[in-house]
Amino acid sequence: MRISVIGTGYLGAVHAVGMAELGHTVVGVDVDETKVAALSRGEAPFYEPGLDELLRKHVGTERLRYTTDMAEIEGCDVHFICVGTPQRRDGLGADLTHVDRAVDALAPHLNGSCVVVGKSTVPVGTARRLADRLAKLVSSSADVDLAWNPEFLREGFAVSDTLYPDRLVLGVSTQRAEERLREVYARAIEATTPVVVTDLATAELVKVSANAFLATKISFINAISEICEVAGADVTQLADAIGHDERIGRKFLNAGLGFGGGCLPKDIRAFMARAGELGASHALSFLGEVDAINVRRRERVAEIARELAGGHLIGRRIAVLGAAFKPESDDVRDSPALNVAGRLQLQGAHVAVYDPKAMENARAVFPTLEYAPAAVDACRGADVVLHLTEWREFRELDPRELADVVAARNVVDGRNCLDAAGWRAAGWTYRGLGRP
Amino acid sequence: MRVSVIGTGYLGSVHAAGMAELGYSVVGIDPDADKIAALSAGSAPIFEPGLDELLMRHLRSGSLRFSSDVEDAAGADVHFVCVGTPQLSDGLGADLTDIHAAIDSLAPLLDRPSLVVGKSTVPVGTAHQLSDKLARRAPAGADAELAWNPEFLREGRAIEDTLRPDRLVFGVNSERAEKILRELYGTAIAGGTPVVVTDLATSELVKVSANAFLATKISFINAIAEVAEVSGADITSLADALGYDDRIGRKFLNAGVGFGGGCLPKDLRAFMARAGELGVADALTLLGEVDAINLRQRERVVELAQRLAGGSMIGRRVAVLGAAFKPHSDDVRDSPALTIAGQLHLQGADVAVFDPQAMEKARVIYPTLEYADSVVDACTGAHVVLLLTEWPEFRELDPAELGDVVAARVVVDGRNCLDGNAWRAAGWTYRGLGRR
Ligand SMILES: NC(=O)c1ccc[n+]([C@@H]2O[C@H](COP(=O)([O-])OP(=O)(O)OC[C@H]3O[C@@H](n4cnc5c(N)ncnc54)[C@H](O)[C@@H]3O)[C@@H](O)[C@H]2O)c1
Ligand SMILES: NC(=O)c1ccc[n+]([C@@H]2O[C@H](COP(=O)([O-])OP(=O)(O)OC[C@H]3O[C@@H](n4cnc5c(N)ncnc54)[C@H](O)[C@@H]3O)[C@@H](O)[C@H]2O)c1
Repeated sequence: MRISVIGTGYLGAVHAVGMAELGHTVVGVDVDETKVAALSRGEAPFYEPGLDELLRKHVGTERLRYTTDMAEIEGCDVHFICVGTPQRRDGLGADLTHVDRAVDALAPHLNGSCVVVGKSTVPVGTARRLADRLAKLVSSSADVDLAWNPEFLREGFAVSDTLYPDRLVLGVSTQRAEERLREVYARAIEATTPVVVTDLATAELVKVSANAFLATKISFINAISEICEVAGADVTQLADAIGHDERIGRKFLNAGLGFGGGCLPKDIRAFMARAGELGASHALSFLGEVDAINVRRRERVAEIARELAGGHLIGRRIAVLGAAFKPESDDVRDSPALNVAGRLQLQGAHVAVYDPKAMENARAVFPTLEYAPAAVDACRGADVVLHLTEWREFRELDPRELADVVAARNVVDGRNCLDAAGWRAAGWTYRGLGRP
Repeated sequence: MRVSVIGTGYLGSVHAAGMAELGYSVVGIDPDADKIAALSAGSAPIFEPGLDELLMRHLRSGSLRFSSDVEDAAGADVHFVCVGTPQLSDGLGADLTDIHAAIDSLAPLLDRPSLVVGKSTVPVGTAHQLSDKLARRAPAGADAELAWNPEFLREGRAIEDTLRPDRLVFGVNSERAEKILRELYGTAIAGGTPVVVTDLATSELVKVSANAFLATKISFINAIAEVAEVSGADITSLADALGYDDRIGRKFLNAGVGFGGGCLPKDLRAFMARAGELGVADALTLLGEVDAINLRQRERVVELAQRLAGGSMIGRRVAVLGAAFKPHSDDVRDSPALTIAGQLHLQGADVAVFDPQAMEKARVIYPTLEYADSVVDACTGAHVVLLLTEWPEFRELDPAELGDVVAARVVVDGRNCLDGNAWRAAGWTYRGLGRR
């Protein structure tokens, strides 16, 4: 099938090359020239395991090309919309200008029979509105309909999630749209990926609800970890114990610094805003609590760091290990690690950050922090070491070696994944979250 | 090993029978003489599938007996404390009177090494207090030790859950206590049940956290159902789509009138109250939202029934199918079905209730409702039929047959478990929650 992908950021770049890998002929379109130039050279503009290999395999063949010229989408059977839907600057809702513009730019190039498929995360009701907008804009020769197929990929696992998704949600209003999408994903469906076929509104809601649930689960265990702290209990053992209940499940029950990134925080806020517009704000006020618990963890880590530094931060050296919002990613959008680093710097500390992949992106958003070339360098002379993104290489740090370079052996494990006993044995004061 | 079970209500009666089934010599103690008489005659004062048979078998063999005299517990090696910990009548916290009384009466009898094992659900910190008390009052002193082993059984499958639990949590102060508990539960452990060994505080928190999570999951999907309703989406296919994500899981994602019973609501509130005492009330305000969402579902059903009845309930006949807080149980504590029935009755409706098992218990707490002999009786002449507890026999009702006896074919499916299309095809106005 001939496929276009509009918007080639995290989602779109992976989706385009994934579609090529599935055997389709793909054109990826973005307004950002640097991004398109990098992709056209077979280089991912961001770090994602396995993406470079796949790009090198397909870019330059007739299967895959990237362009800034919207006209090149002409003749495609399916058009995927993958543009960004960030939080509005002036409120909690989603900024839909990119989606609207993409649809406007796309419409004149549609002809024949094709399906426009939204993948971006949007407030419920958007798809309906875009369908009307499209109907008004397309030429009479075109037979177009709109479907919504929300994306559940996880950064760090994006390639395999695209090729082997755990479920496919097809929000459709016509049989044809369903058939086309089943054809696009034929390989995954044969390999038993379950398909939920539903209407546009339900498809939109599935995505935001899934993210809302995951955020709730994380904040739930973080709230419990606050109690563990004052009750002298251990949240990691607690999570193991409740995780054996299959109605709960152990995944996403790791207490720590909480969630961040370009999706969860903005999605739950946009969800609350949309519920308000629909007159049901009371339904989602619990998400406000989820958000508050999450932000409170950042404050708490900064507070523990200050305690360990002796009550004040002025002139103290702090090492921050991690800048990406999660490991195996260089995404620093709303990163908890950088947020904590920033808070400490504002309180007078001298903060050195190290991350295996996200240094460049971090420097762009927090230029005044110091960036060290390695974990050891960040820790040199530090009064407190903060472990804030659970990259494997941080778990493998040798506490004895690191002890030699720091000014004081204080470590805050914001992800509860270091071997506390090992660090303590090497003479460190170890502080996790919600564990003794 | 000789075992005593102090408190033989829902939990204790099943636990006593289960321990006998595992081969121990068991005495069950309860001050409620009626309960003891019934249990001694092999007829459980509660409905729990399989319990009567189990009681009979072990009463006959002599391995199980019941007594209202706590002195009869003397001589046991292990004492399980299973007394009630209801919500305080004047606050949100747990009423710990019975558990303190149970320990007070037991302690003087402990003149040799023995293990007292708490199973009741208690606020974190309680076990520590009881442990001090035991050491002070037991003639055996420190040899009368306390452990906590919270119970996760589900009413309706209590026997299976007791004999083959999905996990065992041992909150212990010593290796001796762990060893005794491992021996006691040897059969389940050999059968693969995972064991989490931890401290007293963590084990207490595991139980309330597990219930808090389950409550949160239910309220989560009910909140989303409210949004689905105003956006024309369908909560059932949405839940299916969410459930394929193994970090979420499909279980406990059925939207409906929400949770009730003797555990979830009270445990949630006691947990919040305890957080307040510990000075971290903020940590659990999320659970206040969970509670509010849950109670709102009851109101929504009441309002829906009102609307469908034409605005006023005066002189309207309402059939309520279900009284137990969940199927396969006769437990009516904080039952959503009965609170809805009660509210409609207060608004002037003529309410007829039917439940396969819980009629007697319902009549005790809501004596002014009418109790019908069968579903058909309850529905005869009804203007609205409400399905509020998902007993299998209600799911299998024939809408065509029932259509002949009602005054108006209007059904509210408070558990989203009926086949909406089939009911509509039989001429009914069908309304689910969050469903089209
Ligand atoms: N990143 C993820 O893990 C992920 C996962 C699932 C869903 N999503 C959703 O996918 C959408 C995209 O997210 P992202 O992380 O890829 O964002 P992103 O910011 O990395 O990418 C968006 C891209 O769209 C391009 N763009 C903007 N306007 C355009 C236009 N008019 N025409 C063509 N291209 C245009 C931008 O230049 C950018 O490259 C969002 O709705 C997001 O919520 C993201
Ligand atoms: N019912 C469940 O499904 C379930 C599941 C897990 C945990 N729990 C917890 O177990 C505990 C008991 O719950 P339940 O549902 O069995 O309550 P229940 O009210 O059915 O039973 C409590 C029993 O304890 C007896 N009792 C009161 N004071 C006593 C004393 N001093 N000595 C001996 N017996 C005494 C009462 O007479 C009553 O029979 C609670 O903490 C509850 O939260 C219950």
